[in-house]
Amino acid sequence: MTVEPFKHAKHHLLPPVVHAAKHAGGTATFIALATPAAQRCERDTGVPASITIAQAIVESFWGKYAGGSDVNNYFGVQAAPLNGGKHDVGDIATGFKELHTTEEVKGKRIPKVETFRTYKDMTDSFTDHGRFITRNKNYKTALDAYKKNGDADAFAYALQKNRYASASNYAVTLIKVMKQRKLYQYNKSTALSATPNRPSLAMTK
Amino acid sequence: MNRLIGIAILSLALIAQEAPQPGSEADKHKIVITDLQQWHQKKILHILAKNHFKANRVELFNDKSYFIIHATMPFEPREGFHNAKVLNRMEAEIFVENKERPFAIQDDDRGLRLEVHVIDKKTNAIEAGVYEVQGK
Repeated sequence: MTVEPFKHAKHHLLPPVVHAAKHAGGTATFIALATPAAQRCERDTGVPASITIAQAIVESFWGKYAGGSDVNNYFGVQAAPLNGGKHDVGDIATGFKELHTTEEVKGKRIPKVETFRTYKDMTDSFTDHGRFITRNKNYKTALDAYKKNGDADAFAYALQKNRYASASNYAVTLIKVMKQRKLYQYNKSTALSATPNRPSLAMTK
Repeated sequence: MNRLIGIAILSLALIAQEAPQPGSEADKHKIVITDLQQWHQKKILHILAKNHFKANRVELFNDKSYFIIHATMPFEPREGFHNAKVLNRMEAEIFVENKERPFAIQDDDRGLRLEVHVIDKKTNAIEAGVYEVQGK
C-alpha cells in the first residue's frame, strides 16, 4: 500500500500556500492532468473545477499521497467495512486498498487497518469526491449559489463553514491556491468566477 | 489463508454484535446521559475535546459495555488523509481508555456514525467505518 497520511499540515493550520511540486511531472503537469478531470466533475456534480483542483493539491500534496497509478485516490476517500468482509466502495471506485498502521498509546500498540478506495483514474477520483459533496445537504445552498453567480471563493467558505476540514484557514488556503495557480479560468462559468482583483481574503463566516 | 478466513469470520461476528440498531433489544434498554459531567469516562471526553469533537450526549448499551457518543465532528470523517491521521490517533486513545472495547461516535447533523470495531482479538487490531444514519 502506498497511500500515506497527509503529513504536511498541522491539525488546525494548513500551510498558507502550497509551494512544493512533488508530483512527478511538476505542478504545471499536475494542473494540466487535473483540469479535464475537474471539469468533468463540475459537469457531473456542479462542484467548481477550481475548487476540486485546489482541494486535490492541498489534500494529496500535488498527488504525492494519491497512492500511485493503481490507487488514484486524491482525497483520501475511505471504504467503510461492511458485513461479510466487504467494503463500501460506492459505484465509481474499482475497489479498495488496505493500509496497516499502528498507534502507541500508554505503552500499548494498537494496530489499525485502514481502507481507501481505489480508482481507475483521476477523473473517477474527482467525481466520487464531488458526489460526496453534492450528497451532503449542507452544501446545497453553496452549489445553487455557484450555479447562479460562479463565485468559487464563496464555495471555499461554504466548505469551511460546513466543516469539511478542521483547519481554520482552509478556505483561505484553497483561495490562495486558486489565485496563485490561476485556477478560476477552468470553471464552467469563468466570466462570473472570482477575479484576481477580489477585494479581500478575509473570513466571511 | 486460514488466518485470513478466521479474521473475516471473527470480523463478521464482531461487526454484527456492535452498534445496536434502532428498535433492537439493546436499543430499548439503552441509558442516555445528557449531562456529560455525570459520565465517568472523563478521559474520553478530554480526548474528544482536544480533537475538537463537541460531545453532547452519550448512549450506553449492553450493560454499559458499548457506547455511542453523539458529537459534532470538526471535519468530514470519510475523506482526507490528514483527517484519517487525526482519527487514527483519537480512535486508538479512546479504545485504550475504553478497556480496548469497540465504540461509536455519531454526528447527528451530518447523519454519520463512526464505528470502531475490533477485527483481531489476538492483536487487538481495530478497523473503523463511517456509516450514514438517521440523525437525532
